[in-house]
Amino acid sequence: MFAKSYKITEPKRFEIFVEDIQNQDVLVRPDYLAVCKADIRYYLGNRSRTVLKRKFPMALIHEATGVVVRDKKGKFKAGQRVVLLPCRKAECDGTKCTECVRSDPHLLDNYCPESKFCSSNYDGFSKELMDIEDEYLVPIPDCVGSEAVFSELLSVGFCALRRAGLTKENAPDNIAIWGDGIMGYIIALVAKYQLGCEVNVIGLAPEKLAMFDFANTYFSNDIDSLPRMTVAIEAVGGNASGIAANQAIDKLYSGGRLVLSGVANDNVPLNTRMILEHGLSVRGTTRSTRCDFENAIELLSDEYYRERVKKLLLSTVDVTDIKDYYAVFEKESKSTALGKNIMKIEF
Amino acid sequence: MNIGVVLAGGSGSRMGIVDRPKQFIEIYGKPVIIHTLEAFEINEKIDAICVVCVKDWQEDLGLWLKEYDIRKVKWIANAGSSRQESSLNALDAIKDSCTGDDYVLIHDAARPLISQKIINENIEKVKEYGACDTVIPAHDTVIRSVDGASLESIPVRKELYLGQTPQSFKYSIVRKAYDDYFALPEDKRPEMTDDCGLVLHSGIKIGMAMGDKLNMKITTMEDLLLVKSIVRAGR
Repeated sequence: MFAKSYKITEPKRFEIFVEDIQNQDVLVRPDYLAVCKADIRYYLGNRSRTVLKRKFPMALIHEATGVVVRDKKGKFKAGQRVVLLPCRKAECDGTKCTECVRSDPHLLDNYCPESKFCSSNYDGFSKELMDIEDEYLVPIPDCVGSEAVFSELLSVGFCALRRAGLTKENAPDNIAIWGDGIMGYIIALVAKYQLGCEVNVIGLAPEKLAMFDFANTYFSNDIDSLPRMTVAIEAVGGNASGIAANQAIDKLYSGGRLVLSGVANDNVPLNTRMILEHGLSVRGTTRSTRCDFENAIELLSDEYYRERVKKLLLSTVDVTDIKDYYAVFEKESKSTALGKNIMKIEF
Repeated sequence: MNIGVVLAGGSGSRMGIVDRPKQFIEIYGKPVIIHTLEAFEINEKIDAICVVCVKDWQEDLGLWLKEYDIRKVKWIANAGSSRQESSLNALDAIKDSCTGDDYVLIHDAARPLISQKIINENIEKVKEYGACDTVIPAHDTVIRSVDGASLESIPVRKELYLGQTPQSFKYSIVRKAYDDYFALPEDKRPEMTDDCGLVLHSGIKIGMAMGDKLNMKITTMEDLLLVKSIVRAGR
């Protein structure tokens, strides 16, 4: 069947494509989409020309929910709402890793070098219809509304805790998260939910920090009173991620763990002397996998946490043509607010 | 109940093809009519489909419905000698299964690029007005000529739209319009090219649902080339 998709063909240029969809698995109609900073980087052309040339044309968006239209195998019912998972397993000959990371519970398939990721090296969800394997869909319970579009962000938060080796059972007394942006908010919320410990957030903007009503907040230029911790997560990104990471390094107890989650375009200088003196370990985290999405849906099923996720929903924009789609990208690329203007699509 | 009526009774004479009507031509391995039927099949608001098909192709159609897993087709009606007769045959075919309050969306089989948005807007508008036409604004200046050689007038463009399909109606409204039309002696029936013209003639106000340039009708070889090029670009 024919279905429209919107693809980026060069920076600031979206075009309409018509695809012939073959229904082999679950036919899904994406309904809500959210723009990620990674999408914005493609939109603004903030990647090397070689990279962009290799990737375009490509459908953007990896944060999405949808409605099942038809499932050939009968696992999902027509009309069922689902979160769309962006990580795709691919054939792997095992030559790129010493041991397969897919079976390592701290890594899993999102760290497999052969895995694909929607709106990165694989088409994203800016499509009228998609045929998706059932393992890449997670049902949304009735109590959860359009805020389910933030499931991907939440899943990244769960993945970060997984990479830090943290569970409810081994939760520390406190955890510190650097970053008052949407990722910092999400990781802090997930930490509160998953670990139940004291959550300290370090940021810059008073109006953003005021939204963290479930955590203790500190200004990054005044962290003397911030208690020391065994686990710190950097969720700042950009060039400031180094400043944040180095503050965390200074505050970590010996043997502590620093998890880096922010994306920096340039190399970031780190205080390696303190890392080695205090025997710190540094781990990276990015993206997520199915178990993280299932945890995200569980979190959203809890009203207290769902209400706090809803705060990130700045507005819902009806996108019925490519002009509306452009408008959302323009708005999001200029936005400094804590939250997102999400799209309700009907192309 | 919302019933899709897909008209596949045309001959394709304007394309020059001799072995099959245009709606049965394949676009990259799949007949045009199947692409069209799939759009109605997957729409959650469409409950059933009636296909109006030339007799010689009904067996092929039946096989394709199985092959492509089209489950909502409940009726296959015979094509008439005109569009009006074909639509009437469809209304006759479904009459025992629907009430006057049900809705029919009459669509050309040769418009395979119909979107879900157009179908949904038709359903919304037909419920509001009782009748609705799918239109797109006329972006080109439209010229009126009576003799085909010189200009008669240039109508105001902002008031002009181009008609597409589906054309959607409350069953009781379109039924009455057809009954009234066919009750007239043949030489007294006004010339009508589509169902909306007939319903409009009966004095019913018709709402407009926004169509899409992509929802083009494959009428000529150039149209087929365009549709195939569009689909190829998306591959």
